[in-house]
Amino acid sequence: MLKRKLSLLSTAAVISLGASLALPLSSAQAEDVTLKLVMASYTDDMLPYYTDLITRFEAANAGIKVDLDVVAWPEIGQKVKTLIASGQSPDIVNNDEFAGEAADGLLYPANKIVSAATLKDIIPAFRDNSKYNGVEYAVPDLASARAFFYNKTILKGAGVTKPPATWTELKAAAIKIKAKYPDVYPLGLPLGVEEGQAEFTVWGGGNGGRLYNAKTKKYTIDTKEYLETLTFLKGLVDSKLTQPNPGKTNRTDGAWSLFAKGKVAMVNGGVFLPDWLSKNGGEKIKWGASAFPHAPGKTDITLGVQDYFKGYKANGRETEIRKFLDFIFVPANYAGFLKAAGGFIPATKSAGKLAESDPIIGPYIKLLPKAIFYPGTVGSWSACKADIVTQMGTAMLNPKKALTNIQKKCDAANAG
Amino acid sequence: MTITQINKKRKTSRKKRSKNSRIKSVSLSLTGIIVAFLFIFPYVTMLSTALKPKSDITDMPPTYFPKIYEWGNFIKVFQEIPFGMYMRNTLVISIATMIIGIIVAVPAAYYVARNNFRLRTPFLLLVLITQMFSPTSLLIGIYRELSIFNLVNTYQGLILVNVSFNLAFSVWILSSFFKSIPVEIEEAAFIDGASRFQTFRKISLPLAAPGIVTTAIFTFIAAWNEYVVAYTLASSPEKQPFSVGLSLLTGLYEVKWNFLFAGSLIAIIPIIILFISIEKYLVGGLTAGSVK
Amino acid sequence: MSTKTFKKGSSFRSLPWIGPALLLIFIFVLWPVVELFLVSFREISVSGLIKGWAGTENYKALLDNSDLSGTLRRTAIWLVVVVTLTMALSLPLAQLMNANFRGRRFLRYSVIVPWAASLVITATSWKWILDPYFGIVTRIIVDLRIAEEPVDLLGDPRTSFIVLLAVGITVSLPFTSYVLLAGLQAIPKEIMEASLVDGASAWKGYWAITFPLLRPAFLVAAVINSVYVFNSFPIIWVMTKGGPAYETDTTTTFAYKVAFRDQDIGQSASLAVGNFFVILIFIMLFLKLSKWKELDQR
Repeated sequence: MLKRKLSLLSTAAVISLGASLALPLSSAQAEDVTLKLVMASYTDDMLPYYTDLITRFEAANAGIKVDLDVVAWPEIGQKVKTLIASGQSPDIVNNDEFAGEAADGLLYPANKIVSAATLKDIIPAFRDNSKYNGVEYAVPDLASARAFFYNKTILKGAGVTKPPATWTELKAAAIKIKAKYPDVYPLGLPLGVEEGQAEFTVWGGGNGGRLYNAKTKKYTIDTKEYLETLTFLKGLVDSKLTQPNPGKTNRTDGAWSLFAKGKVAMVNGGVFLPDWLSKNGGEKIKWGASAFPHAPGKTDITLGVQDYFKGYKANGRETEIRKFLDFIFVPANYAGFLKAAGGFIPATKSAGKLAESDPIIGPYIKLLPKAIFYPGTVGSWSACKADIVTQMGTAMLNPKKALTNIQKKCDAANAG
Repeated sequence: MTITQINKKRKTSRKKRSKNSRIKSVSLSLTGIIVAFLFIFPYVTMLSTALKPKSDITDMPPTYFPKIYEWGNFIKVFQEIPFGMYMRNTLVISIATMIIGIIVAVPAAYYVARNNFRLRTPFLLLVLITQMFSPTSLLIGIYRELSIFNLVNTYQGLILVNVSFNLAFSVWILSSFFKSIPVEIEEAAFIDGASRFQTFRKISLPLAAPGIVTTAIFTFIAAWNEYVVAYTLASSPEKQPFSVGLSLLTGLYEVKWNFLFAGSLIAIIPIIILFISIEKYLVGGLTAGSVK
Repeated sequence: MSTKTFKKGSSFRSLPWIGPALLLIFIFVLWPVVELFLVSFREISVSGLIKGWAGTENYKALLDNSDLSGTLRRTAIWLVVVVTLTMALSLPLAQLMNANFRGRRFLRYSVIVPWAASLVITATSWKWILDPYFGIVTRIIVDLRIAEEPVDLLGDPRTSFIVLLAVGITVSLPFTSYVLLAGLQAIPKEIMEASLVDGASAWKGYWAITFPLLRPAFLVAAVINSVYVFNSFPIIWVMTKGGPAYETDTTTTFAYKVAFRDQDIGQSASLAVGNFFVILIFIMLFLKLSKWKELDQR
């Protein structure tokens, strides 16, 4: 009697345990095919955009349900990783890396996830950046190029007549600004975790530095070019010509916020910065954009960044993925995507033609031939990028040490 | 020193003490209040920020107090950030952790308190080891294991991990409660013909009720505040408790600090009150078996 | 053990009672330990797939990691400084909480707040307080004319770790001082008062009489505290993410970064295995200090 009751009690506990273990298995068996999306949040407008797009997509494609997750940039990489590791692989992801996943055989080739017509419309240079071992594994969704933004009012007030074109001019301008406006930081330098790798690439690029040598298949980071770059930037930091502690400052919550308040005079911005300024209290700032200052005797570059749509094999949803991505690339839908993302360079030829006449985006499209890109086609790039970002935190204290550490860790990632 | 000596000394000094006692108690009060303020300073700042309108948040330099008190922030937080969802997730996880935790811990604690059996010492040792290991140190292991079970990013995964890591404390504190119930009471019931389970249910369980409530509340609070496991395992907002949801908000480009802190206060104030309500049991429990 | 009624039973009979608890501990506490050891010998790809056995490669990579030595040094500092200062400060704090004065209840409840409030929220509010541009500390420093420009205490590697230490201490104090308070309350009033009779001998009396009685509680609190502090993650993670660079990492946040940022789960697991042994040492210490078995038999 007693024994029975006892075992009842414990069975109940075990059953409730078992039941809770079993739940996720049963809930996965839905009637419709569910397409799982993890998309980057370029701006707050992405969620309403996708919600509308999905409603229309589901109406047009009976039997397909879309499960949407829009994720902020700092979190999206780990999120996708967690989902894959837990056997809950998404079907479509929109973010900024693909090569590692392509190397692990997780991705469909690009020609399986969009129609031939869609693929043909993608700008060839972007398609080249989407190849791993010669095969296209991702579909570019948009791209950006950087420019050097400055506050016209402050530069004029400080007697700087034209935006600095070289490092020497940059430093001279910064000194003038500091003298005239003591409470303004002449240069915003966001080396924090949000986009430290972009600053590193763009400033280093202006001194001829390139992150990766495709011939030797090696990272080229601990080099004279990058050391000179970091030493130059350190000089600016030490002379208090930048905001304090660049290593912790992020782009959006730091450098750009200060630029929007007129507290930073010059900053690395991009095609998307005007849109950001208008949404974040910087609509009154009179800004200008020019080419990046480069080292004396070198040529100016811009940093091109492209992001991707990727289709994952794990759930075998090839057909549904293709339907959805082709739906996004329908010109009207794709125009909405670009608009929600906030002023980027289109990845398609058709939208690119239209954008060439756009007063804000047009100039960047012309800049693209000068663009250097991240080595996004290298499998170890995402790990290497993570390390550049981390080491930028102290690069302004000890440039040489930071470069040595980055080189070492990127080499290790490249080898493994 | 014997007690009589001590008493003697106490008498002789009584006069001197009453002279100084006022100064002493005032200075004690002052010290006490200053120290108390040091502890609640961050939360006071939170409150002040939570009451500021959006435009005041990024004042340079910042103001100490809000210019206008925006009490509406405590309601707007539910619209501005998915705070309602975070709270719902937290509630689901904490309540389930509490219930399963009690169901599992009470029988174990009772049995351990009342019986001597061969597995007893190994079991207690195991429980103790569990208490020492936090999920933080085993994160990769938990992550890999739950991946195998497909429990990453599920309530079930979070609940089961929470229950398991809180079991140790529950078993310790509960068994000390059961032990404090005189065995004679149970024996009397036993002699009256009650079965062992009846004795447990009708006599011991009600007598241990304060202990069970304390344990339940403590487990609830621990699950409520849990961060590391949820941060690693709950990747979608639909599963994230407030601890993770709020911390991720600070990584975004525009942190709505006023709403963030209004939400934080809503999340912590009930817990602080609960905690204060079990204060006196808690200390005994945390050090069960060590401080007599 | 005062069980007269119940005889020493067979272990099998205990299973319905302790079985579920055992099951949970085995599955969710011990299994991850095993998994951790296994993973530390695996080769795992960037996206988390197991590629095969790695032998001791992960351990070699860890020892070769240029940021390991700094992390170990900081972990030691973190542990020693936070625990020592917490213990040292909690003695007078517990004494104050035990003293008789108006406002004592306010003090006791205020001390509970950081204990009850989620660590994440506490850390978030410190992060905000210390924000170089909009935080209240900047305002205070400027108002007191200590500095003219915003100071970024968390962003500057020279100060960030010190700030973290201070926050670490404030959140460890409540638990410890409450344990000591419980210890103090267990000491008979006569003894206590005698030891605090007058100014000159109060200090002496404290060390001669009160402290020895408090020692068991003190030691156990110290060990439990060490475990908490060693495992502590949210404070550092929320406030600095171990940065700038790796300048404020301890082994727990470092392991997290290696796993999820550098995407090297194998190497991270090998570090976690090291952490595992450190905690084992704490358990041994605890067992020795608490004499838990004897006390359990009371």
